[in-house]
Amino acid sequence: MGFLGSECLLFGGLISTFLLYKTRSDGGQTPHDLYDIAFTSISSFVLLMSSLTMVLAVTAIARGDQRALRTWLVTTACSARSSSRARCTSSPSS
Amino acid sequence: MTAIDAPLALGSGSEAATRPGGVFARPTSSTGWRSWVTSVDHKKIAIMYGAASCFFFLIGGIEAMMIRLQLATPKGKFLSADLYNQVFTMHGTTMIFLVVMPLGAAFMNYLLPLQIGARDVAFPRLNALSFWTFLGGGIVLNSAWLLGGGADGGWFMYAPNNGVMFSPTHGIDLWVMGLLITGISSLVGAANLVTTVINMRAPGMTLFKMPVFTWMSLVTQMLLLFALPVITSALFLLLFDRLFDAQFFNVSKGADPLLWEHLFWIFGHPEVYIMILPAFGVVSQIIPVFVRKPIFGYPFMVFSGIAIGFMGWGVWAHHMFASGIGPVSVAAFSVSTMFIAVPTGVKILNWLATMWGGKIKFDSPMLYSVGLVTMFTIGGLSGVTHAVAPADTQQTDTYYIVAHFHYVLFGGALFGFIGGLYFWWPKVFGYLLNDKWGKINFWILLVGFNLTFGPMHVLGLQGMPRRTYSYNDGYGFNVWNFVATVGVFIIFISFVIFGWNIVASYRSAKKAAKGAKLTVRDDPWDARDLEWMIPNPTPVHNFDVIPTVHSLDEFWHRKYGEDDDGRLVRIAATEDVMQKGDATDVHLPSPSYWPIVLSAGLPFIAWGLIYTLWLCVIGGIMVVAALYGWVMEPSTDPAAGHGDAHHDEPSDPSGDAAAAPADDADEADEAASEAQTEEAALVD
Repeated sequence: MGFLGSECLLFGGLISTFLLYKTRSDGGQTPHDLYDIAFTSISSFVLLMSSLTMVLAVTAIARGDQRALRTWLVTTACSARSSSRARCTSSPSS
Repeated sequence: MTAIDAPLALGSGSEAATRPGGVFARPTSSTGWRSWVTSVDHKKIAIMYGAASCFFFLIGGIEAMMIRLQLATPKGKFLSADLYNQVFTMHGTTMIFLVVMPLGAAFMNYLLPLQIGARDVAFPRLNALSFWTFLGGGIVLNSAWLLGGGADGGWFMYAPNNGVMFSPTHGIDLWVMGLLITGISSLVGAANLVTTVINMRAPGMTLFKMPVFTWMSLVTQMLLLFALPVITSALFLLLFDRLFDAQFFNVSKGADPLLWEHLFWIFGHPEVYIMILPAFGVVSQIIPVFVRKPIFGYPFMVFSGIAIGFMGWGVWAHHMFASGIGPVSVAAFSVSTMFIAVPTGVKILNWLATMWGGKIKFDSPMLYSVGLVTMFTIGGLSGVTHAVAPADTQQTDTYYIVAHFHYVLFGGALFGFIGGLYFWWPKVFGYLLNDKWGKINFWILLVGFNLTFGPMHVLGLQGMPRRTYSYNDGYGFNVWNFVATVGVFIIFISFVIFGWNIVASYRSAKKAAKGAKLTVRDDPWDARDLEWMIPNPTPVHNFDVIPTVHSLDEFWHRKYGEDDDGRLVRIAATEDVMQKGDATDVHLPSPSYWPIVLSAGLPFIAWGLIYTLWLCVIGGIMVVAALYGWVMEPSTDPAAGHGDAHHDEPSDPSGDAAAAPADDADEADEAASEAQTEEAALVD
């Protein structure tokens, strides 16, 4: 719990900086140019689900269920791949 | 660890078995320098924390004396304005991050496991990692002196003054990297010690039977856990500004100059309590022993500490009353700041009430504790005057502020820690410090301290600005500045006496021991807590048998009871209550090379980011190699004690839990659930 709180404060500092500077720009790209809400939402969803499938894989092997372990590990690998691809394609910067 | 110590040697383990997986062997030395650099023993790590903070205290102290020499007379010529800025910045940073914090960490590392009846901390290798990382960070920070000059923006390093434009040397870069690395150290330490206190208390020790020092340490570590991430994010932004041309703090490009101030003080104010709460814990241990009474209002002591821990988060903007944050914020933070004086006042009242009516013995530790109570009260009162926003607008950035925080940090934290050193020295090193010299040391320190920082109140109210490197004749600052400079050399003399006391007491103890191992009679102070129930110095395995706790001040209640009239009577001789320290075959965590290797990589990455990325490659290889070595080294050295003779010893699948509370958990189950949490963490 404490460690989640610790993470929250780390990102709290970064996110509040983001919110503060969201509308300011030195003539470069703005958040509007950089982030695509639809892609970001989907890849975040896939990322979170991959945590879930990983946990399911772990509980499966704790039960000794090899088949379920394989299913969930493959699912995790696929979702990790798709989410990283989504991220690559969703950033039009560079 | 140190299975080589005669009483602990198992004798049956074969040499080849130290590398059972065919990979990295764990080191086995128990003597010499190798035993220190590979140690995962919380006692050795605590001693190293203490020694390192003494070294940095010397550096910070020399910087303090340079500041005072420059200001001794008007138009001082000792330092240039530029060098003066570097010296006061490095003095503040060193004293806060490399002296007071690690000194607190030294006490906590040594005492927490002993006070809760454990054999080590929860993660012994991580404990070693925190120490070496801290040392690496301190070295990076101070390497600035050899690499073109220290940081020069004050310990709070306000934007935009911290930008490359205003500070083109690498001083601030090294400052940022040094603090990021010491931040890793504190965060690792916090996670470790919180886990230790929560999970590893002896049977029967509920949270409200923990000694006050343990409680205050727990609050401190929770504060660290939440405060450090904020400064980390601020330091990252500054790092990107300075090294990679980001514009987070560049006001000319439209950045908000208050951003840094807010981020810094959201960390910075809890930091103040991080420094003072361990010292509060120390005197809460010392005072009851020397008045032979239990601490007055134990629950109030604990809850006021917790209250400080929570309220410390709601007062940060009182550092910014002069920054134009608006009348509503000023009023709100003014009230909350006055309010936080209440739990602190509760503590002071409780110490006084503990002393009230007691038979006070003024041995050196007690003198320092009374010193803390009085000096901290002065600093606390001037602190309340800062809370009053209209008054603060007059005081801010004057020497009055400097006087205030030296009264709370030097008069508070350092007095408490020096008292703690006198008190626990026999526990740690096996000989008592000379009490007569301790008292002389105290009185000289008290006089020097008040001569140095007392006049700063006057100077500040007269309007002498803080951080000024010079002042003109005829401002009325001459007399008190000169007095303060005299005072700092009296403080210096008192620390020389302290050092001499350590050496002289060691020599006379060595002489009296006639070649035998140094030891102090059991329980020299007639103390109250578990750490005194074991021989001095502490045996390597701490407790022969993990004690079962029945009450607060467990050790005292095993020695003393009450007769029918409520008078104190001895119910057991000390030697019958004491553990002998002669247990054999105790399972202890094995030493490891990897914490120091990993920590050694980090400074190279830091220097590499600033100078040449090739150094980053070297540092990165060291870190990655150390991570692999760490993971692959055999979890427990097979030649070490297994605890077969002790059925209270827990199973230890990770090799890192020296003395988890005994339970009948199935080993496989435990391993599985641990693997599960680790996997979950990996996925995140």
